[in-house]
Amino acid sequence: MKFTFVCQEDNKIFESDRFRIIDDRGVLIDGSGNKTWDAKVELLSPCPFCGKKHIFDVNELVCPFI
Amino acid sequence: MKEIDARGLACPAPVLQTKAAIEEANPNVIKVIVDNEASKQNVCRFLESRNYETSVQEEESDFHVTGKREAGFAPEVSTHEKSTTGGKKIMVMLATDRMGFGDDELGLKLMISYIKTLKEMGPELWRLVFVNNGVKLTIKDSEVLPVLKGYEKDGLHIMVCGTCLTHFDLLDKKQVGETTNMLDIVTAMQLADKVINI
Repeated sequence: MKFTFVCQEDNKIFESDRFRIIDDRGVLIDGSGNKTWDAKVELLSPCPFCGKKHIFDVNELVCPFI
Repeated sequence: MKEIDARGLACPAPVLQTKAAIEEANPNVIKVIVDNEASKQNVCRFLESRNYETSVQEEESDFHVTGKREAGFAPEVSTHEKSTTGGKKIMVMLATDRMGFGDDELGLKLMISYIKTLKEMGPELWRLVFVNNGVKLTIKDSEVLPVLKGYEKDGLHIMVCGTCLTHFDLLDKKQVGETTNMLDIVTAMQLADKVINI
């Protein structure tokens, strides 16, 4: 299942299913009760545009289905 | 049974947490609790893409998504991983316009032949990098220019050292490839499975 990513160098969109979750620090809850997951996603294959293995905050990613 | 409480998290976090849990523990039964319709649908679709049978139980405003699959099911291998198994990324770096030492005329012939024959590497040829005297192969009147342009047209990423072009005053004569810098070259080396230096 592929997720959509945006190249941090060229700002171009690509899809990949080659990634893993890293730096998982769990779910954070702010003073208002809002939850965010503090984790990152690391590409396991180089970005097709710049060749780098980007790291994204999970909250930067877009929903793959809806 | 693995259980994930993803209530309050915006999509795609519930899907990513589900993915992480499956990759970590490869459970045969997994329950994911979400609190909105979009996350419910996405988690179901993700689990089904991993060969789980899903069922959903509504409890007040929450959805309890349960995925089950037969014991011993192997974790998914991505399609990309399957397709590139055995395939390498080869980077060829040319630091000269002659091959070998001794006779320059012979060296040039050999280099031309080498570049023409590189296509035999097929899709494994991933980067072609020209540095030092090698950049002279990328300029107007180079005998291999049509070959290099053909490679580039076929999708090969050709990198040409900008410092070297400037040194030889050839920056405006380069006809093929992307003018590049040492950071890009070092990054390409790091990403390549094999680096061939000529």
